Amino acid sequence: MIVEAIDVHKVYLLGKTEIYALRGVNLSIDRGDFVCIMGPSGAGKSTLLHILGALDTPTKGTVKFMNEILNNKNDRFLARLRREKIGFIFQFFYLIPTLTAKENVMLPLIPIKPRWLERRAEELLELVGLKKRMSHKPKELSAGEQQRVAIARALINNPEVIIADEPTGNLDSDNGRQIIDILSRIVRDENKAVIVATHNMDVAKRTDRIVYLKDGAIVKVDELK
Amino acid sequence: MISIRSIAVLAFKNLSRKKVRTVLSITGIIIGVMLYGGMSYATSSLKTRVTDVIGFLQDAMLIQNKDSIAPVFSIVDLKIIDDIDMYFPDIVRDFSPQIWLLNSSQKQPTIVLGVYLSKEISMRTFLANLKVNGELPSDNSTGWIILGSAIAESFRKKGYDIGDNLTLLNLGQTRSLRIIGNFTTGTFYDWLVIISIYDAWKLSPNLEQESEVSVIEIRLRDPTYSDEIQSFLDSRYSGKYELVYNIEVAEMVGNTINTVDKFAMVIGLLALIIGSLGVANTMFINITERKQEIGILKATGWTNGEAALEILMEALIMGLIGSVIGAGLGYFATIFAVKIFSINMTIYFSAIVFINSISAGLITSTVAVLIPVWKVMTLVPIKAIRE
Repeated sequence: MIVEAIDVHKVYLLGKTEIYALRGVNLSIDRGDFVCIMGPSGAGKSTLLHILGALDTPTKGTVKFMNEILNNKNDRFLARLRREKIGFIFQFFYLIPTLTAKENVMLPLIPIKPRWLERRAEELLELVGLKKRMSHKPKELSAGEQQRVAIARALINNPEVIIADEPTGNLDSDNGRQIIDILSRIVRDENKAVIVATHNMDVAKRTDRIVYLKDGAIVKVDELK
Repeated sequence: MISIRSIAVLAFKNLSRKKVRTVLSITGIIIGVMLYGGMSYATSSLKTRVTDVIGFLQDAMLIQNKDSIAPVFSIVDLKIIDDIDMYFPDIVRDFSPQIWLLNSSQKQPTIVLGVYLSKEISMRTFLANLKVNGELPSDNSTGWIILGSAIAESFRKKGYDIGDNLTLLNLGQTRSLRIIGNFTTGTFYDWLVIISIYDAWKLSPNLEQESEVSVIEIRLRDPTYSDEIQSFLDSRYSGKYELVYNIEVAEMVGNTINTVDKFAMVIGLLALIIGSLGVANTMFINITERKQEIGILKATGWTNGEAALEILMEALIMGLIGSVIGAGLGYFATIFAVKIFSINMTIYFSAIVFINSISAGLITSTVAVLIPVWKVMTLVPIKAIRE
């Protein structure tokens, strides 16, 4: 098992009011899983992704990453875990405007800069079809191309799991389809786990499992495989 | 192992995003370091001068009237030389009788120093230590005048140069003397003019010709005899004369310069702090604008320390560029200021001052960015991304 949520609760405090973002979520993701998390705004999709991606901790319950319990781990441990095992893709790409596509792909590993970093960044950009756009800066790329750069960035550390929060939310349908094609290929060819949060049913149908969230709880799971 | 170079390259690229803002911050540091360095260069050069003067006057003492407030008002009998020589044979290595007077011609009061030029009574105090530009007067000659560089400059503006005659006036007596040279010591002596003691007597009706002078400068082979000489003068001349250590005066000047130095450092540091506030402001704006981006860096695996190091590096790059330029400009600005305001001072380049100025710029830039760095350290990635 790559990542596992066991009876996960998350409560936020908004002033003195308690907001229940997650209520007893149980979810297991294994290698080669392509999982979609669907639900209306405020259902807790992003919160669940952040907890699964070691960006946040549950108020109650347990999160295991490759059988290691993440509760009470310090920031440094979690940062290293993210650097070594997890890749993130965001709706708004968040590329650094002064860096080229290749430099943006390398960014997560810049502080340690392994020798193979540049070569791997080039390979990944080739994988997402941007071989000829490596030295272009984000403003010189289309939205779809920027998101493909973000996918390459998420893969730079050869992660165990890729977490994508609305990866097609800012793209037209053609570009959105291309992004999902790439993610599917990663699952199929590289046996990675991919977790996608989306509102888009077309995207959801391309995955293996759809987990429906409502008011912080899983209300239905559709196995499509 | 953190790749400092890669983080530094990224920091440099981040700074290039807002060029105007970065340049303004660096300018603040340049001005701060320039003021700090400039003042350091000025006081360091002053200190060098004072050290020279102290060395110059190391073992020199003046015999003068006990109650005279300045050598100009003092009258000392030349017999003292023979008396001391007789009672303390081989103790005094050098006697230098001097006449101090105030020239009031050329609408410029000038302190005039009349000195002996004979082999019997040494002149080491001045001419032997001076590099005179022009001809040197011969023994016992008269009719010449040598100008200190500061006063020479002043007279040059009035049309007097080497070879010209200059008329001195003191207590109603006048004397026309030919300017034969000038000298530079970098000390207050540069404001004096030196003439033959025989001409000085002619200009001093208050002194008995060839038997009275203003002061006698003496240098002892063994300085521990100074108290005994003072006792001798007290008993022999009923307390009329006293021994004054020139070095005490020089040390007093030295202490004053140290005070000025501290004051200048405070002003320089204030300028630096103001400059570094610009860096702090820039970094605050930068991290506020780039909060999401920093959140992304952390989300993708950057540790708090690595993210903070990148911000610190940006401040250090600005601090280093500003400090190096500021330290260099400080030196040239001080030379320029000395020239513009006609200050009689040579500014010496000092590697220590240069390095100190750069260090001060770097330290203040680093301190200024500590709060922004702390904010980056404590930034929670998901909160930053959501914002």
